[in-house]
Amino acid sequence: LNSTEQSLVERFRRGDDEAFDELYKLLGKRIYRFALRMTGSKEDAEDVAVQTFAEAYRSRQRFSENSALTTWMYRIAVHMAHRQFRRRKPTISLTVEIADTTSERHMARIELVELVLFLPESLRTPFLLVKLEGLTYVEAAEVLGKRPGTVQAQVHEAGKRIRARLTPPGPKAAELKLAEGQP
Amino acid sequence: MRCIELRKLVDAYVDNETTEEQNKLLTMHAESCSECHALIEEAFHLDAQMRSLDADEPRSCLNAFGSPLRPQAVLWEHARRSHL
Repeated sequence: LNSTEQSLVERFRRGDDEAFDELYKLLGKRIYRFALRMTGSKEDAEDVAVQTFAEAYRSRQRFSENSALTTWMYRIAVHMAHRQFRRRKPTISLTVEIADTTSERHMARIELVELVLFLPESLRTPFLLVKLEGLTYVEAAEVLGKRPGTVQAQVHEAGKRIRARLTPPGPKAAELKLAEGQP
Repeated sequence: MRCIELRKLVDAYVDNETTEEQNKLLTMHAESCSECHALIEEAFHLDAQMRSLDADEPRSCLNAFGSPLRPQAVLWEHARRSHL
């Protein structure tokens, strides 16, 4: 932790209101974005974001200074998103995506959002942490309590499944063949 | 490096998680294999698309409480939503 983060963590753990606001400014949008792509609906994403920050505040004393604040917050967000799934399966709320345009770029975006949502949770979570949130494999592994090699394999599997549907049949067929162990 | 090895590493390569040695072998192979070359390009394309998926600001849940955001407001909102 650098000195600014260290100071933020110390004040946050003491229950300092300003530190809580700084934490929200620092990570609020990222946590919401992650939750939105995990759940597929704005309402669920808002629930997850609220639950994440409420839980972070409640359990601030348990924050270990050995882990990064960002990693810790994502760990709570993953837990809350999974809890939300148990209540309600992720659905694609097209109101999120169909705002005011049907341009080709926008349609491609909708397609990608759908493909990510169709991934099983076990692949979607590491894929989003790495590809959307920009975490390294080591950081994502820390969030998920897995080995970096497992994260690498899951991100690859998720990418492969999405590419197989996004791209023309040439490379897709070749990739599927290889996955099935054919020469 | 063979095609099957490159295909296993393609996402790690795009995510900057491969070693210098792997990068060297991978680029050497891709120069002579058009399918693997195309796969790397697709992986970079997907990566760019993913990073451009930026969400809108939350509509109301926390911004409605203004700035600075106080923890009590979040705890209140959490309790309210739990009872919906």
